[in-house]
Amino acid sequence: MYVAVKGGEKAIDNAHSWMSEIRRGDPSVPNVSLNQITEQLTLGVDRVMSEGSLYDKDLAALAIKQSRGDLIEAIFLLRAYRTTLKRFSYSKPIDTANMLCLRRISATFKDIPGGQKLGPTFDYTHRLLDFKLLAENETPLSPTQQYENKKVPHVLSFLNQEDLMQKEKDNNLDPIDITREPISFPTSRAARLQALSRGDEGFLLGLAYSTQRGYARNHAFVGELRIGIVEIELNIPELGFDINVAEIILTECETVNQFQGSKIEPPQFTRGYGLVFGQTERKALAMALIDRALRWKELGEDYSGAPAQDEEFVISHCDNIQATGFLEHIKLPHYVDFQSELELIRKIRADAKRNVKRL
Amino acid sequence: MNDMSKDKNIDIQIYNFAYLDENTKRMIRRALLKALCIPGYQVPFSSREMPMPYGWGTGGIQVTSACLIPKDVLKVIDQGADDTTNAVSIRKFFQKTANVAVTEKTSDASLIQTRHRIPETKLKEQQILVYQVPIPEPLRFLEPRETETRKMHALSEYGLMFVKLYEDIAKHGHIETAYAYPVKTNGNYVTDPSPIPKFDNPKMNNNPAIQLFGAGREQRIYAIPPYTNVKSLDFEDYPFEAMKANFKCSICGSSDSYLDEIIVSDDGKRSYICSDTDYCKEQTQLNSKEEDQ
Amino acid sequence: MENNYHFSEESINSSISFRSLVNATSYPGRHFQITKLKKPNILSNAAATILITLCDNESNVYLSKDFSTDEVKDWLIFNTGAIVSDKQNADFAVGDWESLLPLDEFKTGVPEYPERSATLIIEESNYKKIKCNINGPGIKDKLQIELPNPELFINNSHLYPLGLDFYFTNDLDILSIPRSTKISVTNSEY
Ligand SMILES: [Zn+2]
Repeated sequence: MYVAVKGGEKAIDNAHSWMSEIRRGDPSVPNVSLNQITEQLTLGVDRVMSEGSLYDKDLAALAIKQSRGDLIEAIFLLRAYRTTLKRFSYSKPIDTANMLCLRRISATFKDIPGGQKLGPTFDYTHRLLDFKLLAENETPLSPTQQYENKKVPHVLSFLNQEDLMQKEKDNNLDPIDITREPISFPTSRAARLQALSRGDEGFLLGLAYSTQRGYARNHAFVGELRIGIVEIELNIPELGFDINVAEIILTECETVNQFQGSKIEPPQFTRGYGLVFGQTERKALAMALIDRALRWKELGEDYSGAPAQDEEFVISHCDNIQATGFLEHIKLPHYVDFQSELELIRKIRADAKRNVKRL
Repeated sequence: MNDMSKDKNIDIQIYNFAYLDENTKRMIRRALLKALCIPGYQVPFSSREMPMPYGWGTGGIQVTSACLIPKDVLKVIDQGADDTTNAVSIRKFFQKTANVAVTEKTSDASLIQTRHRIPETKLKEQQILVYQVPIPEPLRFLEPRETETRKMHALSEYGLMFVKLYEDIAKHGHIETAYAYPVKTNGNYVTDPSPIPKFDNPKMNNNPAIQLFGAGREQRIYAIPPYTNVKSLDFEDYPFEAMKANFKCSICGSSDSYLDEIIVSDDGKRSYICSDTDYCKEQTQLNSKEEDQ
Repeated sequence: MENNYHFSEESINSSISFRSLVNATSYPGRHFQITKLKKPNILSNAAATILITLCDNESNVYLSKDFSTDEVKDWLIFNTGAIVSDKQNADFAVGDWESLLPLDEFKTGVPEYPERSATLIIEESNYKKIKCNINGPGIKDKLQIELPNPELFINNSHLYPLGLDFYFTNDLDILSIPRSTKISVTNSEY
């Protein structure tokens, strides 16, 4: 007689040990070290840190190694790790005007105080496979220059001076922390920005692209894109002063968008905002475009039914850990629900046959 | 970096009893008690990332983690069976993080986590049944917006659901829902019973045990307290009908338990066996005892 | 399996306390027991257990008259981080029956979010109690218990699914009356 498959436990153990073996690959090839990942696969590490919502390069590198380069799997590992960490305190808000910029560009003004700085970018590279990288010991050096260690003002602040830019008002509310409180709709811009900042790069990219193609077009110019180092400060009440606890790299994007004006607001420029851990400029750009598209209600614009304008649609589906989990869960057994569908369809067909006979 | 290498060897000690930290548990526990006070109402909670994927029972796992006590005897089933891979994985997780005793016997378990089935063996007072729920909102496939469905629940405006069921009858002569068949809890909220076959729906009604539901990805917790009226939605002229394959289990011979259909030969011959493996085992034992006498 | 489990005492104790609360809330009108703990004298073990098990720095707690002492406040803040609040904003309220009245200042939730309501922890007092029949979720058929001012509980159950949820506490004993419980007065003396 047929016996239902047993030994799930053994099957799982075997699958996992096979996976570990495959992960290591050919043992005659040197094991990849975490330093190699943090130093040479930096942008992958940055993506994992940003969508994993945990700024720790070593842990991100470990996650990438463990996940065999599957970045969404790596993001998941980081998220699951961070969720059990004890929270000591909230840091003070970061002022990105104090950023030490590694890269800073504006598409709206040719010359800006503080200057444009291209920084380490793929822009303007010719996308040709570089076979020189096949050589083992290649150590390129770039020309150096004295770093001017000074604050550079935000480009959009110059538009502010003319009152051409919509002022962002401080509502003096503590922003909700979406990792501690469930999001309820309609939600605040602060909650949306948090969700977008840890949202899936691919999902955000596609949505942002859709706005450029006319699905809630909002005419975005890159007012400023800056990547650089900022300090994280913590206020210690017992000490009575702030201490610098970390330096991290952030990518910030501010778009300048046309706005026709409404009953309450004069015609002016408005802002889309993106802020992401690490050097993650595709994501920060996409985030800014989507942020702006989602602001239609507060600005009194029309809702055109575009996906990027739909807060519930965007925020409920941008998290790749939620998405991949639910998508992949259909691999789990569904014998029982499938069985009940089988019964139903047989019953309906039998009834239909009987009815036909009766006719 | 040096911290991490230390952690590697103390895998278990760094976790709280049953994995979750106390703050997270408090938040879940508050939600659970409110859920018990408002049967069938979906309480939002700030679901955490668990070490297994969303959609694989993280809601149920968080509820179990918040409820578990050291002297619990835990049973985990998926599709009614204790030995399905995901049930094995979840059971192992709690053995490791809570060191609780486990069992396959429904009657010995003090807490049962389940996906897609309610055990055939009658549950008792103070037993807890934790359901894993993928989509907690019974109205979701009729109205995708949370803002709208929340309003519908607030106003007890369930016309849309009845229209859908009625259209099924008009078109097909049947209600086209075979699993996750919606119920009304305590005469008030329309509730998703999780994707159990509708065969199981009547077991929810007036059950002496405590039924808790966790939807991790969707961040919702709800509950059906013991002895609560749970009614499957229907019409006077089309009363609800529980349904199962009209066969006997080919292992234990039972004709009143829910059956899985299995394909036993290359030419597609079918056989039927109990989906509830513990029940099947029990029935088989009973049969052999009778034979001995 | 290797035997290196070191679970924190806090996490073990809180799990056991919570289970009593689950049982009490699931079976309204029945008595459940919790264990002793270190707490201010004026608080019962049961009331203190509820606070310690459920409250954290997101919880607003209202302490009524006699319970609003520095000792209770310090204990509460030290052990839970909870915020001592007024009646209107309270998620939890502790006191004897008389001192918690009137009830209508406590929040009862909103139709979209009925759970955003206060949980009242009522300490044993000499206030007059009246025999009532209760039924509803968690109660097999019906039970008979004694309640102070039953009309207030009846009013509360009319707000359903909004409303307040109650725990009666007395030393180690705990009994719950959630909003879903229906109350009727049994004899005519009332
Ligand atoms: Zn059987």
